[in-house]
Amino acid sequence: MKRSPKLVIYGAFAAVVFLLALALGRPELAALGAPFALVLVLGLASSRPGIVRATLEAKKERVLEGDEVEAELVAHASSRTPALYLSFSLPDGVRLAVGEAAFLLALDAEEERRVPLRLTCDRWGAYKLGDAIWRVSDAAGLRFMDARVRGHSLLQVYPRTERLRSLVKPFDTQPFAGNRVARARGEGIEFADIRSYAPGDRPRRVNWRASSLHQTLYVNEQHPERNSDVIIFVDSFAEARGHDESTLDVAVRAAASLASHYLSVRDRVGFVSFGGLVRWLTPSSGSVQHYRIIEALLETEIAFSFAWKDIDALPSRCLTPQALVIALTPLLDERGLHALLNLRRRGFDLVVIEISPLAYVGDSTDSLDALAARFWRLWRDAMRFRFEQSGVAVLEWDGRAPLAAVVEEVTAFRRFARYVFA
Amino acid sequence: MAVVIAGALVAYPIVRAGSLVPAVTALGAVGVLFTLLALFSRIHFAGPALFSLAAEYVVVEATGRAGTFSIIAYAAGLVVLTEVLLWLGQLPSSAFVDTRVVGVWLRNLGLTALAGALLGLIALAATSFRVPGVLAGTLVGCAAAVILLALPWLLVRKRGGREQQGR
Repeated sequence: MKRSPKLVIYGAFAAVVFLLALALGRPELAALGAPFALVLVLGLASSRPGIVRATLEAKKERVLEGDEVEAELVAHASSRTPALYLSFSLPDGVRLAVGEAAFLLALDAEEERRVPLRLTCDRWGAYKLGDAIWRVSDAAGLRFMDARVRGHSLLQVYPRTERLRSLVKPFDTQPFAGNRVARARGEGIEFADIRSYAPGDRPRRVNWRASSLHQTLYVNEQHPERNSDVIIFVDSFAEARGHDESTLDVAVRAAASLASHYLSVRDRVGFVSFGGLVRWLTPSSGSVQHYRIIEALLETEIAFSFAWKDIDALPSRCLTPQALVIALTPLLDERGLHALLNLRRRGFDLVVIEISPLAYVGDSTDSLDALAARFWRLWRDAMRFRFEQSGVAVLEWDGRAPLAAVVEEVTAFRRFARYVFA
Repeated sequence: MAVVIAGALVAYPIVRAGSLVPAVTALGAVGVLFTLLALFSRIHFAGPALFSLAAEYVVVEATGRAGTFSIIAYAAGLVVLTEVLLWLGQLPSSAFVDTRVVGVWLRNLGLTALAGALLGLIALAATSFRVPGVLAGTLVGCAAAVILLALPWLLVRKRGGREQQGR
């Protein structure tokens, strides 16, 4: 409970006027200070402000980036509160659709007041809502009480996903049933070849036309339909950040889009966030895995670290053999690049989507800056060249062009790429 | 509203000042300046504005130029002006303001002005009461002043003690 400036001003004024009335011998001057003394007496005699509970809750727990969500401010006061000032500190990425998150409310004793609001979710992430500061004063405004409230309401803003017409096809498939035509031959639908009949072959597989032509039995061979493992690898060592967006934001959106589309074609998708903090999800399929990946993406952040990290930091079960690794990296930190080259040397089918940080680099007229920028660009070209030499597709993407265009370019590159294990 | 009230409070003593117009005008200008500063810089100048305007009136009143009942209106005006300045000072710059808050505040403001005027009237009526002798008058006056000054302190102390007991 604190004393407001009003208490000091009124007290001092009443005292000065009454003393002046005495000193000047003009008792009528007391009438000048009387209203102030009255406010003091009535205000201090009134009950002190009560305890306030205030929460801010979104009506939905999960929304998409850019969407608006309905929310409700609930305030409750234990005693009559003529003026309750509430100021919510909304996390970066969430704001009120209209106005500021500050409220001045009046509450009766034990009244629960609900104010409907609309929140705009500008950026993906997992947010805690409801952190607030409140202030209540007594009826005369002579004393007040401040308190801080910690929010508990969780709002998950899922990253915006892009529509993709096609996906990068992995070189190898896994032994589980799926939608991809495997290179191997076995039971399937897609015709592969014919071969001589062998004992144990099913009669329904006999190719009667070829058999009659060659006067010996031939059977059809098919490509089986299998699924594949895809690892989405997000390099989270460093990011380039602009005013409202960063390379990590773009990478997370791309990762969400790719994961969603690969899961929709029954592939198993895993996730690795490789940076100051390392997170991973073993490959799996289905909608549950989709939610797991999105939630892991929401927790992805740039954790600054000097520690050297190699791919050995990851458990082997999250990098399944013959998996396609799609890396989303801004090519800013050597540790991430080293890990990717290491993956390639271990025989992983690797695709690198370079989230270009160039859009976030400011212009400078200084010749030294220009020279440094030129060196940096050359270093990036050299890194790109190292990947390309290993047969890895490296495509630059700034997040503005459609992701589908990048995927098409990767597919075109891989059609002619030389598969090198070096 | 605050500017209009401040203008009226400044104008009345100047009109009644007679030969003291320069001094009263200077005090009034200071009062208006503090009022404007209080409006723009919020709470910090409400006190100086109150004291300057009151000083302007006291100068006129002490020289016997003010009307007998003007002090009631002036006291009510001062309390309303200070309430307005302090309330505007506490009001957040950009916030959703509940209409009930404004309603309750306006009602309290009206009641304060009315009660202040009534109390001023009572105080004024009490001035016609004559105590026999200088000593008795001094004692009664001192006792009244001590009671009036001690009352807020006693109330604050009592509340503080209760709060400590509650913990």
